[in-house]
Order: sequence, then structure tokens, then C-alpha cells
Amino acid sequence: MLSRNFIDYSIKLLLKDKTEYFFSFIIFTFIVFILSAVLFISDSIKYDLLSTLGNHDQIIVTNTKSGKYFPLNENHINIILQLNGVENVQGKVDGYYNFSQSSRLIHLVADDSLSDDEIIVSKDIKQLFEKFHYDKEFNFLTLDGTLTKKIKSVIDSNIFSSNTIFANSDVTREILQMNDEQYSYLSVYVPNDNEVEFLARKIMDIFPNTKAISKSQLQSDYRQIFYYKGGIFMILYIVAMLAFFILLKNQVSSVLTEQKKQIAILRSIGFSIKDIISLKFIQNSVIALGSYFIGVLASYIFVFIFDAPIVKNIFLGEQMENIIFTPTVDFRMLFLIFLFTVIPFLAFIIIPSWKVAIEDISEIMK
Amino acid sequence: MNIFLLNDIIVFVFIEVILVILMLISEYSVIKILKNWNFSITTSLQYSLEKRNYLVNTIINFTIICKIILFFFFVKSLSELSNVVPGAMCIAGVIGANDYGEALLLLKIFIVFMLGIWLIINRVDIKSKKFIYIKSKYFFFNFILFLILFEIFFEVLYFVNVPLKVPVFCCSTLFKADALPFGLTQSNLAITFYIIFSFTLIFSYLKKIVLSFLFNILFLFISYFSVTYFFSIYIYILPNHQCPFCILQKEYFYVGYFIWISLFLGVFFGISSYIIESLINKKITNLFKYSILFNTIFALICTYFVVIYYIKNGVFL
Repeated sequence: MLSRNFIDYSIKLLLKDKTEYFFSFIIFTFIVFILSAVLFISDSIKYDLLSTLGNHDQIIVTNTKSGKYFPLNENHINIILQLNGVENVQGKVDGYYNFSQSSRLIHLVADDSLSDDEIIVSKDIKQLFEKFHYDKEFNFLTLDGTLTKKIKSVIDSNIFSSNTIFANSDVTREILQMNDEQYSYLSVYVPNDNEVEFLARKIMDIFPNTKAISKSQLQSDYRQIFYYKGGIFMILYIVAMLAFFILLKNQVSSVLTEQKKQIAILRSIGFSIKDIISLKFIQNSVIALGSYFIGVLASYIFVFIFDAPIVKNIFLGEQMENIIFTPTVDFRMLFLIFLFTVIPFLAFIIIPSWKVAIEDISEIMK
Repeated sequence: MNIFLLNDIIVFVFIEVILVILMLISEYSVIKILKNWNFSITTSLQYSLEKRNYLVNTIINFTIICKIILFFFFVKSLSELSNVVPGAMCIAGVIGANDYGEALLLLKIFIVFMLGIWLIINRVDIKSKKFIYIKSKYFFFNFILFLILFEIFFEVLYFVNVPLKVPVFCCSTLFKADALPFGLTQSNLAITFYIIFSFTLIFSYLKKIVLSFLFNILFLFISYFSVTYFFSIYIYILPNHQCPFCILQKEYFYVGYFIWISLFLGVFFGISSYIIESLINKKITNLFKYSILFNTIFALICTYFVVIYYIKNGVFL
């Protein structure tokens, strides 16, 4: 009996009584909005991390001494280069500069395309410097005195680069007080992907103090952090959803008792119980789907066009004001949001609809 | 790190629990109906039971649709998991990660199958206007509910035991060519596949219920092995990549979904007549045309890849 006319009629009826459904529609849209905003943000950050992470480094080797990080030296590079399957080993320099005036550690990364007297900073760092009136140049305070460097240009912030200063490796070493022989970490290039894991283990066998992480391990670690945080949010979210659905159930019941007369009239002109149930079901599906689409669209605009003004700080803290989210929305995410919101919504509708459909007609009509 | 903090798994288990609760609510009505149903009397109890019947029908229809959607979501979650589980390249590794995976997948398919049969019986029952089959229908429903409770228990067991630190096997080690049944070679397997396929077509066309049942079961079995060990290598165009799950991925245009769904539907319509007959003693023969249709679609998709490969390269793999 699901003809086009029937569906048409149910929707017309829904529009007639729209004030009664308005409350659940608004709340449900808000619920979908919050959920998708959080998922979009976390997915976008994850995407940025995974896509920029280990683009060139297949194995990253770091060194420890008595459990603390310790620089590597030329000896490490030479021995790793002799391993079969390794094509190239690059020593990299990076570290944290302590900007004590604002008690902040800034990530300092070596970039050899720069000359000796200039640096590149991210948008957030630029703003921080301007607070202290470092408009054109910046003074690094080291044990050997002050180093003044010109700010050459400013780059956009994403999750990786928001807290970063780039300088060439000599300058970086000078600021971080490292020798010319020392490296913060090594990037090992292996042409054959299948040998990466094996070589990482081998490096750790040769130097028991080092930690060699392959690209895929690093990605898996990042993923797990995200799953973990996302999971905690999800659990809290389920509690909120259940509360909403219990509200919804009561609200639907009260709306339906108001409509008893209408339903009794429909029954007496020949609608069966099954038809009444499908009528209610169609109406609520329209509400749920409408909320879903509007909620997802609104959160897309909120996150990727306005860069999530307030919610962003929950994720990233104070020091990342200028971060930009890369729009990443895949089918899986939309499917997950759909399942998580629409199906429970409809499940909570079934019993109230049935209850009102089986009311005794003659009782109501009296 | 616990697997239950993954978004997909939380959503999946949450929806499953909601569906089970709905089923249990309807179970209360089902028990009442089974105890007191008598269509020939006109008491108020019988009248209320008939109303309850509507509720149960609505809930079960809703559950079936959700279960089918959830099945796809389950497959998608597993492919998401293969990014987290070390060593897994595709779903095969995640399913094979512990002893419960394969059994759970089979149980899930079996449940969707049974729910489909229930739908057909329900339709016949409502058409009969007097609810002749209502008791056998609901006894059958109790059996399905038991399976679903069992399934939730199994799901939890499976997810708890997915290893996140120890590497699992990938599909190239799970599906070795020497694992073929009855000592068949690849070419013999393909020939057997086409022979049994033509038998299913003939028996479905002649509407032989028992023979169709037997041959469709055999066809399901042979098809699984043929797709895994013979047809899949033409889809991957790699002679040593044999995996029934990788064809579900984006790189192969999701062709796996079409293959497995058409096979499932073809076999379902081929054997449902016999099962329905043994449950409610009614011959239903109008389903065989669907069996012929879907089995043919399945065989055509599989054959297409082999033929295209042969036309392009002039040799078989």
C-alpha cells in the first residue's frame, strides 16, 4: 500500500502539523551537527597528520642515553649505510627552542634552502612574535650571546606546522647548541618497501639504545591515538543520545495523543493499523533524514568554511588560533553518522506509533 | 589501546544492541501469541493478540532492513580495522586474526538468510488472511532470535580478541593454491563450476524443489572456491594474488560487492523453496525465476573478467 499518493499524503499531513514536530526536528539536527562537527575535525586532523607524516622518511632512527633523547653521530650513519637494502641515510636536525618570555617551546626545524640570516615562521608564531614587537626579525638567546635573524616569510598553519620555525641546519645547530657531528634523528631510505620492517628491527639490534620506527608503524600509532580519543567522545555521546531519545519518545507519545482524533477518523474511513504505522514511520523518516542532511551540511560549513571557531580550541588548545582544516569527508564517515543517528531515532519511534495506531476507534469518537 | 574505543566498532555494537532490545520487546508479544492464539474465537484477548501481531511485524521488518545495512557496515568497519591491525592488508587478515572471525562472518550471512526466509513466510501468512502459519512462523522467529543473541555474544568475543600488537597474516598467506577441495586443479575447478552452474539453471527451470536445493548448496560451495582461487586472479591480474575480500576494495571498483550479493541472492532463491516447504508444508515455486536471474548475473560477472583477459593477452593465467 506504499503508493506515491500515500507517501505524498503523509508528508502533507506532516507539513500541516509541523509545529508539533518542530521541537524534535531542531534538537535532532543539533545532535547530528555536533556529532559530525567533531568527527569532521578529528578526521581532518588525522588526514593532515597521515598525509604529511613520513612522506620522505621510511625509517626514522632516534637515539637515547639513560632513557633520555641523545644526538646521533656520523658513526651511526656509516654503519647503517653498510646494511644491505639501505640506499641512503640522511642526518636531520631539529629540536625545541625555549622562548622564555612567553614560556613556550617552539619547534625548530632545519631547512637548507634558507640562507644564514633568515628564518621562516608559521602564522601562529608570527602573531606571538608581534606581541613582543619582533615584527621584522627575531633574537634567539643562546649561551654564546644573541643571534638575530630576519623573518623571510610566513606559512599557513596546519596541525604540523603551527608551532614551527624553519632555519638552515648550521643556524639550527647554533641555536640548539649541537656540534657539527651531531644529528637529532636519521632518515633512512629503503627502495624496497617489503624490507622496511626488517631493516628497522636490524638497526635496533645493532644499536640497542636506538629506536627505529618505520613509516607504517608511525601511521598506525597516530591512528590509534585518534581512535582512542574519538572512542571516548563516542561513549559520552551515546549517553547524551539515549537521553535525547527518551525525551523524543515522550514527546512523540504526547504529540500522538493529541492526534488521536485524526487517526481515529483515518481508521474509520478504511486505513488499517498497518497503514497508520507506515504513515507515522514515513513522517518520522522524513524528519530524521531532513535533520541528518541539514545537520551534516551545517557542520561541513562550520568546520571547513569557518574553520570551527569555538570547537577548535577543545581539540587543539589555545596556541593554534590560525589552523586550517583540510576538507576531508568520505563515504564511510557519512555512513557512520547516518547509522549512529537515524537508525536509533526510527527505532524509538516504532512503539509509540503502534500504540496510537491500535487505539479503540469508538472510545475516541465518543 | 582497546578495540572498543574505535568509532566504527562502538557504533556497530550500539546499533546491534538497540536491535536486540527491540527484538526482545517483540519476543514478549510473540510468546503471548504462541500461547493463546486462536483465530476462530472472538475474545478481547484474541483481538489484542492480533494487534500485537502488527507490532511484531513492524519490528521484525525494521530489524531486517537494519541488519542488511549493518552487514555492509560490518564489512566496511573490518576494512577500516585493517589499517590498525598490524600486518593486515585487507579484510582477510582481520577476519583471520582470531578463531571467531570466520565463524562470525558465516553466522551473520546465515542470519540474513534466515531473516529473508522469514519475510517470505510472513508474506504468505498475511496473504492467507486467516494467519494459518502464524505459529510455525513465530517458532521460526524464536530460532532466529536465539541465533541473533548468539551472534552478539560472538561479536563481542571476536572484537575483544583482535590482536593490536601481534602481526596477523595477510591474504597471500591465508589462501594458498594447495588448499583446493577434493584435490581439484584450477582448470578442473572452473569446469566443475560451469557444470554445476548449468545444473542449477536446469533444475530451477524445471522447478524441482529438492534437487534445486541440493545443487544450489553445492554451487555456493564451489562458487566460493572458484572466485577465491580462479576468478579473483583475473580481477587482480596477478597469478598469485588469491583473495575473496580484496575485490571489495575501491581499486577494483567494488566489483566484489556485486559478485557476492548476486551469488547470495541466487542461492537464496534457489534453496528457500525447500526450506519453506519443510517449515510450513506449502509449495512455492515462483521464486525460481529470481534464482536463475541472479545466478546468471553472478556467473556472467565472473566470466567477463576471464574472457576480457583472454582477449587482451591470448593466454590464461
